[in-house]
Amino acid sequence: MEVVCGGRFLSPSFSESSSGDTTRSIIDQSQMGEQEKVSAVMEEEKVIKEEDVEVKDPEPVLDIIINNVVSSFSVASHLDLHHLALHGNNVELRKENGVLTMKLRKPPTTASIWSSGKITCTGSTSECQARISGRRIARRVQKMGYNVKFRNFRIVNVLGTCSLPFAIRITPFSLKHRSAASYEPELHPGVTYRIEHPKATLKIFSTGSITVTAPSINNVQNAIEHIYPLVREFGKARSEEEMAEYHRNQARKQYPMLNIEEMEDEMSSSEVEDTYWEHV
Amino acid sequence: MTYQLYRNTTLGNTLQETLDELIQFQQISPSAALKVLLQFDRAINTALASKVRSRISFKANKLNTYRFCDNVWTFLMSDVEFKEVQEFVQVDKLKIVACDGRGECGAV
Repeated sequence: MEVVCGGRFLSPSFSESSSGDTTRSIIDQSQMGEQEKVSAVMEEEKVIKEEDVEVKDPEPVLDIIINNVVSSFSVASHLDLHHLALHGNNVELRKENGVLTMKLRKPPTTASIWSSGKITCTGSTSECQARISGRRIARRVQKMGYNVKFRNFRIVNVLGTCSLPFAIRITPFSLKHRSAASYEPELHPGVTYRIEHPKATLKIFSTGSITVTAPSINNVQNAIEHIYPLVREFGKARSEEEMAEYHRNQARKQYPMLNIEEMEDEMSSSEVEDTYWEHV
Repeated sequence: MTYQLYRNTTLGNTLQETLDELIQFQQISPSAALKVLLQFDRAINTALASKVRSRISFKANKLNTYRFCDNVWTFLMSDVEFKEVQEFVQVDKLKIVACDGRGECGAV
């Protein structure tokens, strides 16, 4: 699995080795089907044109962004949370919860520490980063004078997001996949789609955004590959504005440093902040 | 019981030194000195809460460490700039200890 941009982007997950190629071919087929369907239904002319453009898009590559990796481990030693809270750095002790939270700047991590020695870490963007941050937390605890081991490390949960280049008609989608999908617009605006094996839960939104929670990064990728042909069937073209925004977002994700316009925006906003603080 | 964190200020330290001296020369008893200190705690807490009107703002370049334990926030920051209308004071390092307590708040 290729990790680009500081582990934040699992870039071309679909153009990966042999499995990636098969997925791509499936996508191409489904896109052809969609094209035929659209022309058969004879919707608005503009829509068909947009659909054509989309099909000619040379790279049906989807970026899956891993937003959060939750891991848990044990240090196999009872901890005096009060002592940790008094002498540790960047710690918060909420007595009522019985949990000590410790944060790291690099890699950005929040760890919840229980007095039993169980620790959960959140905030990583890849599995190896989760391991590193877990070890750093354990090392910090060790330096405060505890007999620390690094036991039972496992990835508990992974949250990934993916933005498709088309919108989805989620009502017919949920009707077709009744067994796996549940759509309760009064409770949640997205369809909840469960995959039993490999285990993953997807939230599919009408905008074409999909969020995936799964017990590992591989599961997230498999889930996206599984769901793509299913939602492609119910894809609909976006309006030009939405499409423009999608491309802008994609460009920003791929070249965060090259986006000069964005940088300028950020600079001006920080300047605004400075002047704000001067006034205060 | 009021907070005793203002004993560590210039005012509190000098008071404590004076009381120690008086005890040494046996001019007051240690229990009387303790009473004075407790009265000092009460007085400075109410005075800072009700009589101080001036406002100072500050901006730190970096927050090095924070800590929250027993309802006390501790912040360590560096390159701090204090501002009071036109006056500037630049400090390399700053430690803030802030306690909860209706209107009772302290910075050391």
